[in-house]
Amino acid sequence: MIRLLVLLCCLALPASAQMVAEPPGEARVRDLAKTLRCPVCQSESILESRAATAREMMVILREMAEAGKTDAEIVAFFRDRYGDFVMLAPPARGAGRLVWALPFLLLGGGGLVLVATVRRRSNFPTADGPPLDPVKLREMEL
Amino acid sequence: MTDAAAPARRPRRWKLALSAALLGLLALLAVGLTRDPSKLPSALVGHPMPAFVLPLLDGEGTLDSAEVAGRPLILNFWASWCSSCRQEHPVLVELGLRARTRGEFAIAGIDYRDTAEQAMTFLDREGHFPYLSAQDPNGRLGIDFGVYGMPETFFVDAGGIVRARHAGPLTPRVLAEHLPKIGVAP
Amino acid sequence: MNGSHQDLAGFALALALGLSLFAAAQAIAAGLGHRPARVLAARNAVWAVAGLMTLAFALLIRAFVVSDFSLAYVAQNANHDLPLLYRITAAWGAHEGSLLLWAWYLSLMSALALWLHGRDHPLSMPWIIATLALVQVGFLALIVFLSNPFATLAPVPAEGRDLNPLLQDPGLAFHPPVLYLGYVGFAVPFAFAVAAMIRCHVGAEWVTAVRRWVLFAWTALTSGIIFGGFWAYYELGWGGYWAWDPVENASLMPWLTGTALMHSMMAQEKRRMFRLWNMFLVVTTFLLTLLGTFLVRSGVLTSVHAFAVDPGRGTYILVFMALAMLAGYGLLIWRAESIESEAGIEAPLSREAGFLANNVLFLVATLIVVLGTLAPLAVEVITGDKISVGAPYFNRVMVPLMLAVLVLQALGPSVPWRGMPGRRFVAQFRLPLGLAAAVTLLALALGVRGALVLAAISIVSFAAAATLADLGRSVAARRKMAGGGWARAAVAAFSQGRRRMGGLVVHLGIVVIAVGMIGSGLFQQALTVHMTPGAATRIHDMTLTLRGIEDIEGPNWTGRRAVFSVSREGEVVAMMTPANRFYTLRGMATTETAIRSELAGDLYIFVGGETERGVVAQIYWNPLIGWVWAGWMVVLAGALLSLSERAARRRPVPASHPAAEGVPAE
Repeated sequence: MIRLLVLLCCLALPASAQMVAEPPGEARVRDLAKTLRCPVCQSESILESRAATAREMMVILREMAEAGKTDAEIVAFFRDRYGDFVMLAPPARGAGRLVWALPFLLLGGGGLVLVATVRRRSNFPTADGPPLDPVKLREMEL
Repeated sequence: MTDAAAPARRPRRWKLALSAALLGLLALLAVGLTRDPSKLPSALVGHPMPAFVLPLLDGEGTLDSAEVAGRPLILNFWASWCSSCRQEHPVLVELGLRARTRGEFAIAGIDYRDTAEQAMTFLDREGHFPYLSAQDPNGRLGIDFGVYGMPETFFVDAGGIVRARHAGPLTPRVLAEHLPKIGVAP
Repeated sequence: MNGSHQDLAGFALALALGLSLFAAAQAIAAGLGHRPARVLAARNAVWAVAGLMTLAFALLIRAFVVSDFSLAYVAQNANHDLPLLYRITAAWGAHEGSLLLWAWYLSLMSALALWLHGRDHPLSMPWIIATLALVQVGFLALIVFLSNPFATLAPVPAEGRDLNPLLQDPGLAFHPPVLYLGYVGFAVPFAFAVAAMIRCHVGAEWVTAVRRWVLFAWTALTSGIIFGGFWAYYELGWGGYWAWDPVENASLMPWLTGTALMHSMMAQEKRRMFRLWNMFLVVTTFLLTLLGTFLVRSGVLTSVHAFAVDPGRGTYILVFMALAMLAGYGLLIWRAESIESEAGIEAPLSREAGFLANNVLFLVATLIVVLGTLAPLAVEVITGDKISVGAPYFNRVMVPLMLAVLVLQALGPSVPWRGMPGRRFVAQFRLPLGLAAAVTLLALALGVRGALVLAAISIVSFAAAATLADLGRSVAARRKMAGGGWARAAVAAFSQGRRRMGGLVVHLGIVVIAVGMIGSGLFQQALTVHMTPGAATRIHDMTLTLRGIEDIEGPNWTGRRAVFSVSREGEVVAMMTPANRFYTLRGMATTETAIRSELAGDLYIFVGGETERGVVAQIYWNPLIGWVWAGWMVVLAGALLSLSERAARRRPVPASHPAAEGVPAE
């Protein structure tokens, strides 16, 4: 590393480094690729996967994006070929709807339990007398 | 979360719910053990086969999907780099000979993500197919067919509808299962 | 020579299995009949098992060091050309060896638990020994009969197949050993819980005893998970560190319930509350570690981390898990009535209610992870459809939930037990709220948009300010009581109130980690460009120039690397050399990312294949990602501070006078 740095100090920067930039639609391509599952390395998205099939899917994705296809059209293209499996976030229909509803159901249930427990217990008379003065309690707690 | 407020009054529903959930979990995992999670069902089954025109592997000309329309078709994706392709090779050769002599169905190969030289070396070693193979060097057609591993075989009926897809080497048992679906006696 | 070593190892494992069975039988007999001599026999057997397992593990390491390819496991996972470090770490690089590491840890922890707690808990001890010994039997039988790392090969191959190239990394030396420490650490609380339930003796004392075990296991699990994230970050080359892969989720599940447990245990310790609930959490956390083992080793789900698939082992682990569930949850259901809490929540604005809310959030998070991970399997079994539940789903769902946890974390520590007036509660947070508002306005002014992003920024700044204010208030109160300067007060606060201060420091670390996650998750910049030598590109405030591409060679691989110079305002600040390697033996290619870390973020480069348009370079600017790792160090410091509290100071507070005996630990 240090050797490299020294070497570099002796080398002037090339006077006219040829600047390359990302093609404009690439960010969108990446965002879409993150949501598509590689059918070969099945635990990765096609963006991460090194599998040849995933690479080729990226090429197709890029071509479709350049051709002005919408996100929905691109996703539909791959879904027609590989099924719902290819979407890393399940589509919101059928069983997928249940998967999306799950967090809300659980949070709702949890909230009910929370409210019910606090309420029920709040009504319960305490045997210990009135609560201590909070200021004093805080100091003792430290 | 249970409460201490009135143990006698409240029915212990949570016990039943917990037991049921655990039993369900164990049952699910047990069923899961009998399955291969990497196996994908084909999205193409029940839909028309994608049309294609690809250059032939051996010699001039193209393989055109329109040419085989009207007859049941067996389309086999293979590659020289795939080791289980060697395993299914004799089955395919036998199937090809049958197609040639009786003509009740068509069969074709797609050399997937391969170079022509390596594919020819493979065929010279293993024996040539008695039917045509086309080249799909970058795997485009494979993606159209939803291919995810080698080898894969598609069974298409006379109407051009894909009826079955088998991922993995072909065996007589697999053929016996899928051939009737496209109206071919096994 | 080698043969005798294998025989010795096989003998040690078989004897350890026999002795574990013996220990369990003796301990159960002692528990039923109160015969002290049998407890002694069982205890000695547990100690002997620890010795035998240490011997077996040492023999496995030796086999790797000397490249003894007569062992099938060594031949499959090592090679003469493999560097020594990787030959050692390869011992736990695959299924059999990692299981042996697990069982070895369990034997050591069982022995340690008996040594530490044998005197204090004489009546629980038989059941504790029995539980630990039976868990040990479960793992040892799996090792001996289905996954023996000492199985031999004939004829002996001249050369091994080499370690999976992805594992040829120092990460393998840290991630699994620390993660397993966490997994196995939860077995001891589980054993205490089982003993407490059997004896119907579930007061505060078992919680006091296992608090440190839980904290230790939690710290190890946290560290293991973070190490894994760090490893994935620099090894896998997609610029992230967490992919919501089933196996990653499997390690998160016990972490979530373990975190809930650490908090609700305090309520039992101080207020004798949540008894049944704590039992449930202890049992659940341990069982989730088993579920993780099952998911990794059975091949039920596809994952990058999964070990070789073997349905026989899967069936075994499933049965083992079912038995552990039957014991754990069965006892819970059986004893539920006799272990319920006495005290109730008195006010919605109290520490107790806060812990309850914490537990609800963490349990909901756990259930989302468990059900989300298993949903594809369930859907496939029920409807035959194949769906995926991956990172886009979990990110969408879990980020808001974890933000809610951060809010709670900011509020919780300032709320006293048994309640406080609402007015005072609000007054306490005036400063952090003001600060959060200011930071959010600043972000808006800087052009940050998006509801989630702004919510994340305001919540994190609120949590940071609230936690710092809590720390400051503790020091201030100490100064008011003892007098003297701020420095002395701080030292006194940190050394005398280790649990509270340690906890607050852990909270601070979590905030730092959250800052890193939000920065790198929401503000990442990425670039995919084709570059030929001489080409340059810009990302963030830096210019990257590709200087050249050259061949490189290692002990068991060959490769190509790209040499980039990184310059800022025309001045070269660094050279970076991402590379691709090809491991000849396994015929596998890996990519080596190049990372340059600064406080503000990481520059991260990964190069793909060479095409006619040049090499494909994936370049990322990951803002603040180093804060995730730095935050882990803060968490570790806080946890160690809390762990360092002397046992003598940990006296349970009588229920009738909560926190009323002078200055308790917290």
